[in-house]
Amino acid sequence: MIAVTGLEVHYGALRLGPLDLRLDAGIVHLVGSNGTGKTSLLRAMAAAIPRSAGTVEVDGHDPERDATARGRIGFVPAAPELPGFLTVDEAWRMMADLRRRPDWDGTELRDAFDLPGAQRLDRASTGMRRKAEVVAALAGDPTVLLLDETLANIDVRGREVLCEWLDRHRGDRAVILTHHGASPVRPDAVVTLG
Amino acid sequence: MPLTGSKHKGPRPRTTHVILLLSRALVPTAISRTMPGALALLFAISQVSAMVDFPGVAVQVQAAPIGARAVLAGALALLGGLGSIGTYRVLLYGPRAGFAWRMPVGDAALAGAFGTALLIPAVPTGVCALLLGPIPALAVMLLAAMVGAAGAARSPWALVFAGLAATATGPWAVLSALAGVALLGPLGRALRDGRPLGQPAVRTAWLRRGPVLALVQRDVLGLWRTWPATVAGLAVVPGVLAWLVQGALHRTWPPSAISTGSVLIVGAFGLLPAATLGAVAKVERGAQLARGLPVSPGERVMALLGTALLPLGPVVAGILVAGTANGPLGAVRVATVALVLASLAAAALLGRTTQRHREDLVSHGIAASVFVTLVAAISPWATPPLLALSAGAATLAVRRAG
Repeated sequence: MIAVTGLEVHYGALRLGPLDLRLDAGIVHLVGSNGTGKTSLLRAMAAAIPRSAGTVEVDGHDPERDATARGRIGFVPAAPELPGFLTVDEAWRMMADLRRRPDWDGTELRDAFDLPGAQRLDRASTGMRRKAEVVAALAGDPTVLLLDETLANIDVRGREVLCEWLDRHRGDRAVILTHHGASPVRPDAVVTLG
Repeated sequence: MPLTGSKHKGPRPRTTHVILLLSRALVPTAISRTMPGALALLFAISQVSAMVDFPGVAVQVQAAPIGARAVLAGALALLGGLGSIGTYRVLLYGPRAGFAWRMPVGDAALAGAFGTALLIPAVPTGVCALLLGPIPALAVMLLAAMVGAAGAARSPWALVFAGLAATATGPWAVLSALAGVALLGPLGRALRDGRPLGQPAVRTAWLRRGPVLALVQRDVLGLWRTWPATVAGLAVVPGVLAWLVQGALHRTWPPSAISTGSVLIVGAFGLLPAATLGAVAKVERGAQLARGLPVSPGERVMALLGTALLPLGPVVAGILVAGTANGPLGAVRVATVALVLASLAAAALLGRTTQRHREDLVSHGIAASVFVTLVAAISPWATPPLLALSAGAATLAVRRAG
């Protein structure tokens, strides 16, 4: 599903790569000390920052050039990026629309996370906002999930919901997650940076 | 102590005492916040009165059809109330008002007790409403104060009060004012619920129609939830102005020149598209054009154009309602200028944000807008080159968005 070849990211003082990675399905736990480039790597894979060299392909398409390929990536950044003036429901509806899946319904997942749909993101707690970003990232069923420190700040019940979801979909999704310490969900592979 | 509206224990203080207490606390604040605007209004009136026969205009307004007077009264109350929401929020939720919420009085009494101070920011509205006559002016002022208070509480009752103000013309003004006073209870409840701690739930229907509309909705919601009064004003004022100016042109200009007049009116609002996109960039802190969004460059630019064109919608509507756009060709010229302004704004914004993350307006976008307005006003033959300019700007924007 996602193939990274010779990827280099030069971002500020960071010089990352060249790096190769191929993941058809399963969960990869990306580990490394602070500043080793985990976040930059995920952001480059999600086309959120430009890469300096190499290629990234999602189902054979470059997400930097192809909007459809970007739509197949669900990215939950470490710091919230969805506009704070949106409500929880508006956030996932917007992402489903952007991924051309306006029929996608996130209410079940939202309820499982115990999120109020009318809650404005900028008035939500850190954990609630993180859960809202997860629901928005999953909107439209992207095949690749990039989770950057997503499980931090999420309550126990929320972690259980997310881990159950990841476990259930490990056969049909490519998931790369960063998390300091032991992965809360059993990884199929561990990649260490730095 | 929980705030439970009219459910309270203990002796109820006399409402007159509450009014006196609140007046002592709030009236100075109301005066100091209202004074600059009121003085500016007085100055403007003194200047304009040298050129315009106000009593004559008042006679004309009062002789206008009932629908026109109703629209004027309603618009005055809505604009006056929404325009001074900032003052109302300070009055209602500022440190000097804090003790008021703990007073064990009923909802209607609470709203009434605030009345003395709340009426002061509505005085300029009342002065403008004198065109409708003294009694309607008082009714409109009272209802504008209620619109402002309800608006500060983010309550939909603001629209009810504006609707009531629309009926405050002629002999019904007294009845409208009485109906407004009878609704003090819901207003008081809205004030209690709308306190900053209350955080009323936000419910908006999300139209699910694909990526372009999703981005436009996001931008509009951001503007509406950040600057509701400004957005409400933009939805009304430019359209009414365009309608009035177009009507005046129709009476004074030859029919052959009316189409050029329409173009000039649209061009006069040339800064709105660039200002709107700049405001959206500020609200969304650069995330507006985030690289990772799963949309194509074309969709990105279409969404920007949609957002940029929105503030020109009321202007074009005002011209069309005036019925003087000079046929289909005139309508095409008006639409072309609007499209050019939006395209240039989008291209300028993308040019700026792709180079560095700046949230302010775009100077060359402003200059280009003025230039386009001048060119468009010169001749009807400018329409094809303008369309080409619009296409060029849009293409440039698509390239930058990619």
